[in-house]
Amino acid sequence: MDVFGDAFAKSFNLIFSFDKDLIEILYLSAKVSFLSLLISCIIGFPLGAFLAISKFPLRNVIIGFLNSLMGLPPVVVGLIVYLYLSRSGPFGFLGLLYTPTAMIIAQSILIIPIIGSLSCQILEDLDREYKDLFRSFVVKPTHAMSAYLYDARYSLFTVILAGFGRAVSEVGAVIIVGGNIDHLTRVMTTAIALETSKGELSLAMALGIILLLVSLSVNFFVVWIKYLGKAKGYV
Amino acid sequence: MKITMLILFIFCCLNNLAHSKDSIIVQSTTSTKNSGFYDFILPKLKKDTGINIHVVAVGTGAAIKNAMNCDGDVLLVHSPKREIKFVNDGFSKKRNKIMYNDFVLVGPSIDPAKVTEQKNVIGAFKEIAKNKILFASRGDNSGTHSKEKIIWEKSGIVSQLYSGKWYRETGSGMGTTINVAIGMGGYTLADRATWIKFANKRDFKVLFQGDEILFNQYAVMLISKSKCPTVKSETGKKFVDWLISNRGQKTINSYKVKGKQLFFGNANNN
Amino acid sequence: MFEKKNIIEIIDLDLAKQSELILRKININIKSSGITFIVGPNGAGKTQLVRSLNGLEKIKGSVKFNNEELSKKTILNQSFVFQEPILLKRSVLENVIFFTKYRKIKNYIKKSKELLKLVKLEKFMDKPALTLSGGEKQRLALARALSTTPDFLFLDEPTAHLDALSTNIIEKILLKISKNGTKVLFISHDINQVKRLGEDIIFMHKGKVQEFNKVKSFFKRQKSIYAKSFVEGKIII
Repeated sequence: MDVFGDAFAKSFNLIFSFDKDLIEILYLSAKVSFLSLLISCIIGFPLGAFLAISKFPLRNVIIGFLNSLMGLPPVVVGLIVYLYLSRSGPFGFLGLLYTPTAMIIAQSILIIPIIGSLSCQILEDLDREYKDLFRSFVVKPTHAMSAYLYDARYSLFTVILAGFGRAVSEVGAVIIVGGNIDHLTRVMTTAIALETSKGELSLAMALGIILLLVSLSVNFFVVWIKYLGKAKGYV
Repeated sequence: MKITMLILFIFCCLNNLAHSKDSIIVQSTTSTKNSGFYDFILPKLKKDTGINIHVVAVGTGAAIKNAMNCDGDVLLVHSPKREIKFVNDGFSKKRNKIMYNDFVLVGPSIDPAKVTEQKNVIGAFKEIAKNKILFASRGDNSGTHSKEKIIWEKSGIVSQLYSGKWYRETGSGMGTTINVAIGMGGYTLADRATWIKFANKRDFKVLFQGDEILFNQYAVMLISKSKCPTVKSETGKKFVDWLISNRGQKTINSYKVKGKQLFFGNANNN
Repeated sequence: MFEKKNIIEIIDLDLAKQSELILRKININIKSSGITFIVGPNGAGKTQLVRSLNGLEKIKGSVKFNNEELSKKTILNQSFVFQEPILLKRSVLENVIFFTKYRKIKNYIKKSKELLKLVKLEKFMDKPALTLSGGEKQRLALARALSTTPDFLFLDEPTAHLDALSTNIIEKILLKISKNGTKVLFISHDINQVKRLGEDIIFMHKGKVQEFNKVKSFFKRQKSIYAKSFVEGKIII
C-alpha cells in the first residue's frame, strides 16, 4: 500500500525540515504528557506505597478498585471532566475547558490508577522482603514508604513508562476536554485523528510514525537505565 | 517540600491556566473545519483585528448545546431552523448570515444507483433506497444531517428503518463519514467545501448537485451576555463584525481549493 | 566498676500461628552477662522465640526487658541480625546511614564509617550492598545492628555457611560487646561455637524450653533425652 511509503517519506520530510507546526504539536504533547505523568507520580507513588504496607480491613477492596480503575475508558473520563469543567458545571468558573490544563487533569485521572496500582504490586513484594527489618528497627511507616520508593526506583521506572505509554497514546479524553484547537490544544494523537478525518492519510500516518519513534526512544531510554541499574547491582 | 514547590512553579509557568483576554472560543462544526475555512481566514482575521480565535469543532447539535452551556463566545453553524430557535430562546440577540455553499451527493464512479440520471436529489435518494445501495449518514444532528433528513422526508422514505442495513449512521464528523462512505463504496451527502478539500477521494466524485434543496446557509451568532455572563462580548462582536464586513466577505470569497471557490459571502442579505 | 546487667524475663509465653502451637509456656529468666546460646533441632521454635522477643510476633504471656514490658520503647533498645541478611538496595555505607540518620545519632556519617571499620568493610563503603559476599553481607548487618547501641542483640545463625574470616570478625565483636554489657542472644547449630563463646545455653525442642543451663554443665550432663541425642549428633524424635 503506497500510503505507507508515502507516509515514511512525509515523516522524514517533517522531521528534517523542522516543520514548525510539528514542533509545536510535539512540544504540547510532551508538555501535557509530562505534566500529567508528574502529577500522577506525585499522587500515585505514595498511594501505592501506602497501600503496599498498610493492613487495614478494607485494604484489598481498595486495591481491587484501584486495579479496575486502570481500565477506565478514556472517553468516559474525558466526558466526566468535561461536564465538571464546562461553564455550566461546578468548576466552570475556573475557565479551564479547552485548555492544556484540562487535558492534564483528564490524563492524570487516567494515569493515577496505573501508577498507584502497579507501584503497589511492586512495593508489596518489597514489603515482604523488608518488613521484618523495618519493624525490628521501629521505622515509622511514612519513613518506610519513602525508603521503599527509593529502593524500588528501577522497577518504578517501568511503572512510569506504563503511565507514559497511556498518556502519549491517549486521544479520547484530551480531544473532548481540549477541543483539538489549533496551536492551543492540538497534540500528536488528536492531530492524527484530525488529519485522518480530513482524508490526509499519509500525513496522519507520518505523524503516527513520529509518535512511534518518540515512544520507542523513551522505551529504550528506560531499558538503558535499568541496564545501568543491573550493572550496579541495584535491581 | 522543595519538590512540590518546583512542580507548582513549572506548572504555572508552562500552563495556560485560562484563555488570554484577546481570544474567544467559537463553537463550530466539523464540516466547516474540515473544509479548511478556519485555517484560511483566521490568520487574516488576526492580522486585521489582533484577535486569537479558538475553534472547537464538533457536530452542529453539540456546538449549539455547548453554546447554550456557555462554553463558548460565538456560535458559527449551518442549520437555519435551530439557529432561529437559538435566537428566539434568547441565547443570542441576532443571527447574522455570512456565507453559503451547497451540499453535494457523492458516490463511487460506477454509480450503482444511477443517480446522475435523476432529475432532482429527491429522486436520487429514492433510487438509492429502492436499490438498497449503501448510504453513509452523519447521524449526529449536524447541519448536514438535518439537510439529509429533510430530503429523506420529502422522498417519503423512513431511512431509520434501514439503519444498520444499507443506511449506515456513523455518528461522526463530515470527514470521518466520507472516509466511511469511500471505505464501503456507498453514497453520502457532503457539503461541497469539505468534499473539495478532502484528500482521500479515491475513485469517488460528485454524482448529483445543483438542486435548490441542497442550498447550505452559514450564520454566526454572538452568544448573549444575559444568558452567559462570562461571554467575551466585545471581542466576540469584533469577530462577527469582521465576518460580515466587506473585508471579511471578500476574504471568504477568496478562499479557493484546487481553483474552486468553496464559500460565497451573502452577509448583505441580512 | 558498675556494670549494667541486661535481663530478659519471659513468663508463660505462648505463640500460636494458624491454630498451631509454635511456642508453649516458655518460662525463663536470662540474667547472665555473657552470651546466651539457643540451640535445638530444626522446627524447635528457636527463631520464633527470638522473633517474639523482638516484637515481630503476636504472643500471649509476658516478656520483660530490665523489668519493662515488651513495647516499641524496649524494641528500640534491641537489634536483630536475621538468618538471611536483609539489605537495602543501596551502597554499603548508605545501608548503615539509613538507620543512624533515622535514629538521629550524632555525627551519624562518622559513626557509620566507624562501624564499617569495626566489621572490616571500610574498603567497600561505596559498593552496592547486594554485590557483597555472604560473609560481608552479614558483617554489614551486624554493623547496622550495632549502630543503635542496643542493650539486647539477637542473632539467628549469623555465621552459618560463612567464610572463616567473617565468622572470626563477628565472633570477636560479639565477645567484646558482651563484655561491655550488651546482652547477646545467639541461635546456633555449631556446638563448637557454643563451647567457644557461650556462657549459658537454652535447649529447645517442640516449642518448649527443654533445658536451660550453663554451657559447661550442659555439655557435661544433659537432663533430657532430647538434649542427649542432640549433643551426640543424633536425630531427635
